[in-house]
Amino acid sequence: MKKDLPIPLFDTAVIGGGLLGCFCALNLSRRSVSTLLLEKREDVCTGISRANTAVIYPGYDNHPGSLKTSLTLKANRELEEFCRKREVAFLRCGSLLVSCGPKGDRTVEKKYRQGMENGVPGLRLLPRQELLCLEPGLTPQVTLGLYAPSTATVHPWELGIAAWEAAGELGCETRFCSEVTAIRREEGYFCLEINQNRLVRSRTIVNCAGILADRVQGLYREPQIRIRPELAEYLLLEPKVRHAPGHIIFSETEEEGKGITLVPTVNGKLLAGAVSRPANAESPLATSFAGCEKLYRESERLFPGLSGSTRVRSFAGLRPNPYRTDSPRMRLCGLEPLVTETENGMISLIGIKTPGLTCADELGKLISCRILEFLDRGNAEPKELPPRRRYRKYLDGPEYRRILCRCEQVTEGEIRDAIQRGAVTLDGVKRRTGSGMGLCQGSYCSAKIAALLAEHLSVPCGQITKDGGNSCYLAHGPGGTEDD
Amino acid sequence: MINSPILIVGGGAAGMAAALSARKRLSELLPGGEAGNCITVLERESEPGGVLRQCVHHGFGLTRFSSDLTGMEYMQRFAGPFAASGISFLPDTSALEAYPDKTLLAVGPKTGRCRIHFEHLILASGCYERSFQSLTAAGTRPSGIYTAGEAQYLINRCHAGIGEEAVILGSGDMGQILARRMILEGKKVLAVIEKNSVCGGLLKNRRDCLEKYRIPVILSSTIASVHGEGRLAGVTVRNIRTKEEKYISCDTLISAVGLIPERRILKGLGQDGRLPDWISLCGNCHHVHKIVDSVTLQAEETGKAAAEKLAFSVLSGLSKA
Repeated sequence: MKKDLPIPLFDTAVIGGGLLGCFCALNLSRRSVSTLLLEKREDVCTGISRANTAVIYPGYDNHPGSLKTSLTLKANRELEEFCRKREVAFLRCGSLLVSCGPKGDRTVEKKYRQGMENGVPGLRLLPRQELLCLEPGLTPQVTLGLYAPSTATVHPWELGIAAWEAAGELGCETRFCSEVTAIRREEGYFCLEINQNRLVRSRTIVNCAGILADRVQGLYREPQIRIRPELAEYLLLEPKVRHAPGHIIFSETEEEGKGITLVPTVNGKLLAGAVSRPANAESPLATSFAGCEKLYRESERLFPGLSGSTRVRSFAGLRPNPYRTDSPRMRLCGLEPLVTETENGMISLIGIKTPGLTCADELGKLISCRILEFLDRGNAEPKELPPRRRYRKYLDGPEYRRILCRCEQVTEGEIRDAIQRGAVTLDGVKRRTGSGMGLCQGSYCSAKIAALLAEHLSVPCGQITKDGGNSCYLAHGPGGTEDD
Repeated sequence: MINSPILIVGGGAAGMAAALSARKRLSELLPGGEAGNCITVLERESEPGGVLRQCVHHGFGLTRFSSDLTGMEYMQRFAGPFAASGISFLPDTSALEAYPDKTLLAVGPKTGRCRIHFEHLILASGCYERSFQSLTAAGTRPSGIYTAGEAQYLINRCHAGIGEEAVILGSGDMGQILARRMILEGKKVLAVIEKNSVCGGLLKNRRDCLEKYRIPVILSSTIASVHGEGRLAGVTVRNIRTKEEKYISCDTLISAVGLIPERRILKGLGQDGRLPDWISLCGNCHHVHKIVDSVTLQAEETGKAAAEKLAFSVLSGLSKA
């Protein structure tokens, strides 16, 4: 450990560069708080943010008067403006919560009443006939539906990356491959040890470490809330039928458990999710045959026309299921128990699940106000969100007219731009541009993208990874680019 | 807007043969006209040749040229005349969509994003490969999984090593040729997995690629799950009938599980399943051919027919005037 150099000091250290971490960093930076974002991996949005249902909820799922409800309602109204400014694809397609029997009908009616009380705009209960007018492909078995026009969808990682980039433009500093290994309190500051060797100091800490948030809290003080990781499986389809869902479809089942959700994604695919089960410690992101088949079967049951749709891929994501250490069986409602603070300025967000994506920006605002109180600073008007500087597709330079990913029509210029903006892996490029998300799953463009990454990062092609760690795209060792 | 009476999408084996044949027929029917000016070929790569450019193995041209050529050599027999023909060639240019008003939206460095007007469209866009991911096998999503075409491109065109110990899924010609290619690169091929009860592909390939190198073929089986965090660590192979499972440790999986004719630019046309008569398909986007020689033959017929149609409309237009 180098003792001679002064240890850097920040107002806040944000631990974890997922969606919540990025939005906390952005909102802190907008309020002129000097912020350091610490991320264990090589890129932002590689954990929970990269695989979830991608829904911006309308606000009828939570109890009236709760913090979750007020944040969701506000977020649903305001997120679109953020997306417009930062050019994040945002699709307000509306949603239908549908049921096919008396048990489901009761839930739909209950959500309708709750939504009305919450003041969710445009809610309507629809009988079968009207449902089939809105969604002609829906199963005729449907009995009742709740229409919410304000429900929307985004790519969660795209949203997180946009927030992170805006934070960077406002002065937030980021350190990648930086795992926080110890937190101590020294002379009125937090002292964070990174990768067991370097130190940084901060006046406050925001812990957004996602699936590991309880452990990060435990580095400083034993958490009241722990996380039980849960695995959620998803199936991505390429619908070919004319009557594929145009709205987000939530379904209530007559059996035990939750129904599946169908989301028409911003890039024209159909996402079916989620089947969940406790995560296996050895291989936490392994999909199962049964999970995938169930998703396919349930999609077909809701939309019989989807039968025979092409599967694009299946994948799994993690969900941080929170529980109280003193009463593990108690159900945790609302956000209040999940946002915890120590008396000297460490805020932890442990087990924020749905609607974490919807509320990311609102939670970021909330947290940044608390941090300002800890820092004893006035709550001044936040800085304007800077608009995104961007290329013009198909117009700027010849590289913006050369398509490399033909399924999703991504140009070489966009890929170079993504690399300049911080992508260091194939999946990093994918999250920024959508390359490799189509039917060929990158088999045509990966080699070319790997060559561009190697060129920009000045490393041999053999060092380029799919997704960090040892996920090398080629065998290790020298690998070249095409030999023309 | 660019205007090209005959527009060909794809500059591979089919596209070049169709273009050369159309040009020849046009100059016969309309002597004195600049036949080359009537034809444009769009190619998304920077050079013509398509998938032949990554085929270093033999077996091409046996019927066409009565000689055993590599894919590269076969390609060169067309690329020379094609370059000399005066046919307009737009490299690095992708076709995005064809429209009912006989225009095609394309993007390329030279053209920008533009509509190309045509009288006849020949689609010679080959195939894309069905991805391993679309089989939605259980397990993790590690690196080290390639399609056969991707592996072939990396090995033959980029001279890159893709892995040391490979399992190959699919015993068709592509799977077999890649199995041999890995062996010739000094790598191990642990097994070729085939879901049918018999090995696929041409008899000649089976002998030259699999039997010669004693590569084991596991029949009636599929890959049930993949393992590995980061890089691929192994696959679980399951027998479809007996349900028996077996783990094979490997760092590379090459999937050769099918080719899908690339017709996505036609998605807005032919709603009733029938395409308008001003579009013709040739080569592997028409159907998957067993050998390239038959691609050439079919593409030449297609090019000739398009030329005749064009010449007929020009001549009948003249006689009316």
